Amino acid sequence: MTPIFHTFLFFIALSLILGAGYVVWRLFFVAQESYLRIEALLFSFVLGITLVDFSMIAIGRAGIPLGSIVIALTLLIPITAGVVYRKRFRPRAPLLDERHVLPLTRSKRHRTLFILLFALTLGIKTLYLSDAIVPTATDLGHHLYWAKTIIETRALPDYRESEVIDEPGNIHIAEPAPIADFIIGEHLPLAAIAFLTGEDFFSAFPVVFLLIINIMSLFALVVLAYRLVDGSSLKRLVSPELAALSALFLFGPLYTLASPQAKFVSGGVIGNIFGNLFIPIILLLFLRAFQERNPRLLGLGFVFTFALAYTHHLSTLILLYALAGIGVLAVASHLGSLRSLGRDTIATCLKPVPLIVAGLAICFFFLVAMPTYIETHAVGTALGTPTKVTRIGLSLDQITSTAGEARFALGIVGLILAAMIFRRSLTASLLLGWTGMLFLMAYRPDWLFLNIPSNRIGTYFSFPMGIAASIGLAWLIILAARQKRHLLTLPLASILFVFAIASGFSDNGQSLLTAPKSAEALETFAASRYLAYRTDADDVVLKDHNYIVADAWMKHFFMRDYFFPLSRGYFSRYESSDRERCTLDMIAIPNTPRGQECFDGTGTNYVIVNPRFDAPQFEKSPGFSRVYASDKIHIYAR
Amino acid sequence: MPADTPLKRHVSALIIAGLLFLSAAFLFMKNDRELDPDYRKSWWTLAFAAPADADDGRFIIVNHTGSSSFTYELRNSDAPIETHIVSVPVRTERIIEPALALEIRVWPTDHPEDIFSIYRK
Repeated sequence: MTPIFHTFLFFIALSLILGAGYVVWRLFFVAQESYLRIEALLFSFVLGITLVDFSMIAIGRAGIPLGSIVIALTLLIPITAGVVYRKRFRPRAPLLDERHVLPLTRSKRHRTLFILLFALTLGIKTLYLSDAIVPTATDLGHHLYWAKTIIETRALPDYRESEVIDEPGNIHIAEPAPIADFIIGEHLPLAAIAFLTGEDFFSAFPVVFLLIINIMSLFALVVLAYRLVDGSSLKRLVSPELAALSALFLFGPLYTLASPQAKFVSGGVIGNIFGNLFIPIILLLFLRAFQERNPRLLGLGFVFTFALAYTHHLSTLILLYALAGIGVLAVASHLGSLRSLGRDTIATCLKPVPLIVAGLAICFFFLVAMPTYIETHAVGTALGTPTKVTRIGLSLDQITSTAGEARFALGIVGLILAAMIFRRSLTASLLLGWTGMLFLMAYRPDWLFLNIPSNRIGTYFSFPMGIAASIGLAWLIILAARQKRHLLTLPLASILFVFAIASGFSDNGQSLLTAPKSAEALETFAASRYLAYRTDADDVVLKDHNYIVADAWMKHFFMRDYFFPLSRGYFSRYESSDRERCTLDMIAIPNTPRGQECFDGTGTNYVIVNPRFDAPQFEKSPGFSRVYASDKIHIYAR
Repeated sequence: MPADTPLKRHVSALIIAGLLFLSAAFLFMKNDRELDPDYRKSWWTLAFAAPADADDGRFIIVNHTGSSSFTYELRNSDAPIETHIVSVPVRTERIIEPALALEIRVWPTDHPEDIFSIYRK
């Protein structure tokens, strides 16, 4: 099949998801309110993903085999229902209601600028991904193992893995035990697309899909910047369109490769990428729901919050903390008028749509399926006093760098503007609460009883800070336009843009790869294929993660267990005293009594290593034969 | 174009969708090329055909180099026993059935420095 045909197939599958989401959105969540065209796209897309997730969970739980026909029907039934409903009850209504296709930018100049910024963003991301498209990323390999399990078993995955028990006199591989790190919503959309298109997980579609989610999250941030200004007294200082374009500038071409942008896409950090789409959309929906007292928007916000809980635990936790921060500031901003705030809140919440959504969510949670981290009681591991040095918080320098220097500087301006309109403002509460809470979570996690790697929290901080920065930048542009005859205006504006562009692009420059690793990856895949074809359930394989490219993808060839082949992890991981060391010792000291004890206990009889780093110890060992050789891979048999 | 046709109203959306399609098509094309074992790559592998069977001396050469001639040398205890030249067409693999030996060394005939060996102990 040609790449164009692959692309068409992929976009047809994506259109089905989008179409089903659009119909559900129109039928259940739309009334008289107006939407930007880009909002309609975002809500339809995320609702389509949500529909796929919960349908597949329900179908899988019901014991019905998952497959291309089932998935296609899941998406075609709502689309058909929407078409029939429209023909029967609203034959004269246009397919796209005028109220739902409002443009984000109204002038030709702004529209052109939007397209240019988007094209530049996409161009940079595509250039970067073209060198990282080969399936080598560790996280992506791990996640797609589960998606492939869904395809092969046609059932929901049972998230379990074995582990090496390394106790004196008792070395063995334990029975598979539940793992909490993987959540089903990370894998179902990818499995659905694979079912619909028949694409292999080694094709480009997983990365392209993640790129599209990344682009959608960019749009979500642009819309959120627009709505924050549009629905508040900031509108007197800044135009919403300019804030949206500033957001596109600061989140688009600038810092477009750094985490959590394209680097997360190429790395396959699937949960985070989904989280970065869901969080701004949920905040946008809650903001509009309470500003417009619109229960349908609130109901949709509940749907997406519930979907996020089945997709990514860390993003869900971040969202809950952010909502708590926003809630506290909303109360503080309404001191003196709390009664009216309470009345409006209750009036919005106690309406059929949010109540029905909440009821359905509770029923699904208790009767159909809970997220794995709830079932395995793993929530407690993320809360409490930080237990590792990587979890005690970031320095101010690190936080500034994570947010991006230019975004951080401009963000301060935006936050000052928000503080100026703080009184009785949901916009200011959202912006200040979201930014403040994430800053605290990254800077002093112990104050909030958080026990999560601080650098991961730091990546979330760039979003509220970037939104604040876009408002700050838009205000400065307007200020400069008003003072354009002043002698200092042009030099100051130039310095500002040069600073922002230099900061954003130097970050991009650091992220570009020198060359793709496809040659090395192909050797890894060839060795894996060789061994998978020639081993059976009695054989145990150990591979190295430090020096072999794409080693995480080896399990796709064996498909025996998430844990298979066993892996020698990064050396730093063995510094922890409670971690098994057999996987380290079997490669480092295979010929010693300790190494032999590990081989005997685990039953390992094949070892895959990179000969440039790990061949001599096996060559000198009398008990190992070299059965496979290529430039980057040796396989030794015991 | 008339003032308010649907096409004109949605021209930005169409441009954005078109750019996304082109980007995706380019990435699919690039991935296909990178995973093509012969596209701008030169590598080969040597392996026992039956790694678990010590009595089976057959070995496989998988050839993704520009050369179609390989030389193999059978050795026992550091001493060469015999040397042969075999043809393995480019982009193919070939199973060779040699006499039983402890070690097999192979190299592309025109690149004797690019040598791999497999052995049994």
